[in-house]
Parts: sequence; structure tokens; C-alpha cells
Amino acid sequence: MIASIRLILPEIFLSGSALFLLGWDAFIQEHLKKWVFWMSFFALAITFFLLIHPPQEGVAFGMLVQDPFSLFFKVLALFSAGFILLISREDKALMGDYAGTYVSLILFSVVGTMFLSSAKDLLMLFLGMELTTIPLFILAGFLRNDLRSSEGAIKFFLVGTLSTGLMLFGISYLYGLTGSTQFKEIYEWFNKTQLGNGDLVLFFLAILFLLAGLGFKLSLVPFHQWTPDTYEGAPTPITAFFSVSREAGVIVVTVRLFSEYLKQNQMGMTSFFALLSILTMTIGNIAALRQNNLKRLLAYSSIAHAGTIFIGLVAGNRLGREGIMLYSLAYFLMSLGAFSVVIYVSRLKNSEDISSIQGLSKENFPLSLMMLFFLLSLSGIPPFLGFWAKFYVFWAAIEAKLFYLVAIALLNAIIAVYYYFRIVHKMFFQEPSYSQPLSSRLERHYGLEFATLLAVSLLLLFGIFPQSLLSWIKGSSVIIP
Amino acid sequence: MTLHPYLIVSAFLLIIGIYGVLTRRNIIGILMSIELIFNSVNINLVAFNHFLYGGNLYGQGITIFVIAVAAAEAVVGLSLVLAIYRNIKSVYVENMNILKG
Repeated sequence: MIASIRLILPEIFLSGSALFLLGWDAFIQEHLKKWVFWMSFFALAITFFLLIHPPQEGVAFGMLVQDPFSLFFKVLALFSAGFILLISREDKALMGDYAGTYVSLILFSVVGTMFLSSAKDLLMLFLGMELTTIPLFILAGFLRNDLRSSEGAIKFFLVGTLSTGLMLFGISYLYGLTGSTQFKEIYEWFNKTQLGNGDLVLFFLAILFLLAGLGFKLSLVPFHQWTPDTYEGAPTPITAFFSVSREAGVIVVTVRLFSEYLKQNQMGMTSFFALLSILTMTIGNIAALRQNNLKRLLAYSSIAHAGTIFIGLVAGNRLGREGIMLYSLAYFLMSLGAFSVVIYVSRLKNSEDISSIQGLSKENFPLSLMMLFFLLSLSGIPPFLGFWAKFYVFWAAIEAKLFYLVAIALLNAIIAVYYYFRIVHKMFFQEPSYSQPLSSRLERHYGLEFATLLAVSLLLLFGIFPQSLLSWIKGSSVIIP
Repeated sequence: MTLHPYLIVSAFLLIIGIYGVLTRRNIIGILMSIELIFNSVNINLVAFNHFLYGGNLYGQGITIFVIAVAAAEAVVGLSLVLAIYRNIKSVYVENMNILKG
């Protein structure tokens, strides 16, 4: 009991501090509100300390497994929350009157991601997923007077709850078939028992229902329609948060749930998952070609990246897991960076249209250079970290002999270069559009600038000297079944 | 009583729920259909627990979690509907078309 509680102490502490910050918002006087930002940072730092000092291993309450693999993603989730807090620090609409609510919702969502990344039980999967998503519903609609924000949130909510319901239906059938909700026991049931045809059909149906829920969270292709609308409507820091935290926990739990089946290629699951990955990449990339809103473009590109991360899962080997970790880290840095630049530009020009970034190099050269770096990394061009991430994922697929998957992924990478370089072309080779003049009151955005600089320097540093990062990732790809 | 009638009822609830989500134009109606899906899950879990795994209360325990989470989701959903209603004075999905999805 005590040992189990020690294992989930970071999560307990973080949810406690989120509750505290929620109360702080309600009961504390106006002039103390500016401390919310620093307090939330402090809470994240203590949680990080509890996580890594010393790193714990074991199983808590038979439901949550702590291993190096989950630790990596928990640290990633904490850092992404820190980044989001930094880039939304100067935003009056978010960190104004309701700063405590905003911050506590982000922290709750991070707790959900942390639970999700160590779930080894279907009940924990469901609870972790809800704890991640319900705060995101509210955050997406946080700008209550902005109709676009509410509309994106309600679309996200409707698709989200529907897919949760379907996922639960799958879970109930898995429970009925196997009498357990542990991933391991379900796999053992599947392996040992002589299954009749009826059982197999029910099992496959249950897995399909379960995939509907997971696919929604990963925005895999049949469940991706909400993504661009929600990304466009939500406040931009939240959009950046969406693209990172949503993926991290769910991909881990999908790995834990399916890697055994994929390793043995049970029931043709490998080709089924490969098909999902191909569809996601291709449709995401093709739809991104004709987007004129920067946030929508990045939303479609995030769908395509989700498909690419999925390749690591399809490969089903240890190298695939390493690829997933590296890709998640790289995507975290480059997508947050790109969104930070979009936030900066939209604060200057009050527009997120692609024309707002036109001629940026003549107005603000350092900013356009950073955006160039992020876009190069997103399209997977060395020496940035995005290249190593793609390289590892493809390598894993080649090791698993999935050559057609790699070929299609490479074609997709080429399509992606086109729309990323469309932005580059607009930034560097076109004149600024003076119809939207730079707003006269230029405030300093310390948090935003610091976050962008940090992201770009980490991308370059890890891209040029990947050895230490790679050895760390190799050490952390261990999972306790 | 055997297990099968329960499973048939819950499958019907699921189908009615999905049909409702796909055809309703009123957001409140969609929310109610989603609740139907959650309740079909609850019937399933309790029936499986009672008829197949009577030794423990695991399935019924999950049901409690499902009910609690469904309530939390309904709260968030209704508040989002209120936020939209304040802006456009309508709860019909065809009026939500600013974002071209």
C-alpha cells in the first residue's frame, strides 16, 4: 500500500496543487493573482523532482506501472505544460481574471497524461483518457465570448464523448470475454484459449470499438475531422498543448496494449494498423496542401505526424518504441516552436492567415529564421532533431520488414516539404503585406520569446549532437509488462 | 433469466444512441443519445459481472466509475452548449458553421 502510494506520489502532488490553484482563483484577492504563474511552475518543478529522485519502478495498485518508458513520457508531459504556461504568460485573455482556473485545468490534463502513460489496465486507460480530455474540452472553449472557440470546443466535445462511449462498449465486451481488464491477462486469454469463431468475432469487434476511442485521441484518419476546427478555434497556446499532450499519453497506452499482438502479427493486425497509419499520413498531408490558415495547416500537419509516429507502433519492436519516444520529443519541440511563432505573429498582426507571415524576414529577421528552423525540422531535414526522429521510425519499420510502409512514408515526407516550404517562400521571398500594419504598441513577450529560443536551441543541439539523447532514449525504452 | 436478453437490450441501446448522434440536429438531443451509449455499457458490465464472474464485484465497480465520469462529461457539455447559446441563440448544429470542417 505505502509502496504503491510512493509510486504515484508525483501524480497525487500535482492534482493536489491543481486543486489548490483552482481554489486560489476563487478565494484570493485580485493583487495576489499574478503569483499563479510562478506557483504553477513551482508545482511542476516539485512533481518533476518527485518523479526523478529517485526514479521508481514497480506496479502501483496492480493498475499503474512505473518504468523508464512511462517516466520518459511523464517528464515530456511536465515539460510541455511548462512550455505552454510560458507561452501563454502574457496572454491577457488566458492568464487574466481566470488564471488559476486556466493553470489548474492544464495541470489536471497533465495528471491525466501521466496516468495514461503508465496505465496497464483498461479501467485506468479510460480514467486517464477522460482526465486528459475533459480539461481540454473546457480549455478549447476558454474564450467564452469568441464564437469560434465555443464552436471548436463543442465539436471536439461531441466527437470526444461519442468515441469514449464506443471505447467503453469495447471495454465492456473485453471484460465479458476475458473476465479481466488487465492488458496482460487479456493477451494471455487470447493466446491460451482455444477460441471459437464467435469469440474471435466478438474480440475483434471489441478491439475495433476500443480503437475508435484511441483513434479519436490520436486523430487517426476516420476520426480526424474535429482536429482542424478545434485547432483553429481554440486559443493558440491551447492548440499547441493539444498537439503535444494529447498524443504522448495515448501513444504509450496504445503501445502497451497492442505491441504484443503486433509483434506476433495476430489476426493480420499489423497490416490493419499499417493501413491506418498510411491513411492518416496521406490524408493529413494532402489536406494540408490547400490550407490558408496557419493554425489549420499545422493541425493537418499534426495529423500527418500522428500517422508517422504510428509507424513506430506498427513495427512493434524495441527500435519502434525508441522511434516513438524520439519522435514525440522532437514533435513536442518543433510543434510548440512553430505555434509560438504563430502566436507572436498573430499578436503583432491580429491574424492567423498565411498572408500575415508574408515578408516576415524583412520585418523581423530573427523570428523568420526561427520559423525556418522549425519548418525544416518538421519536414525532417538534417541537422535538426526532426530528421533523427523520422530516421529512427523508418529504421524500425525496415527492421520489421515493412518496406511498403517506409516507401509511402517517404513519399508523404516529400509532399509535406511542399507545404512547409510554401510558408518559407512567403516569409523570405515576398514583400510584407502592408494592409495589415504592425501594431504600434509593441509589448515585450518575455515568456514567449524565452520558450521559442529554448525550443530552437534544443532542436539544434540535439540535432547536431544526438549521441547523449539517443543513449538516454535507448536506456528508457524498457517496459515492464 | 440468462445473459442474452441483457446483451440484446444493451446492443439496441447502443444502436439507438449511435443513430441519435448521427441524425439529431439539436445538441441536447445528441448529448442524450451519448448518455444512452454510456448506459448500454453499464448494462453490459453489470450483466457480465452477475452472470459470468459472480465471485467478485469488479464489473459493477467499473460501472460506478463510468457513471461518475459520464456525469462530469455532461456538466462540461451542457456548459459548452450554454456558452454557444449565449452567442448565437441557437442549439442546432447547422448554425455552427463558422469553422469550415
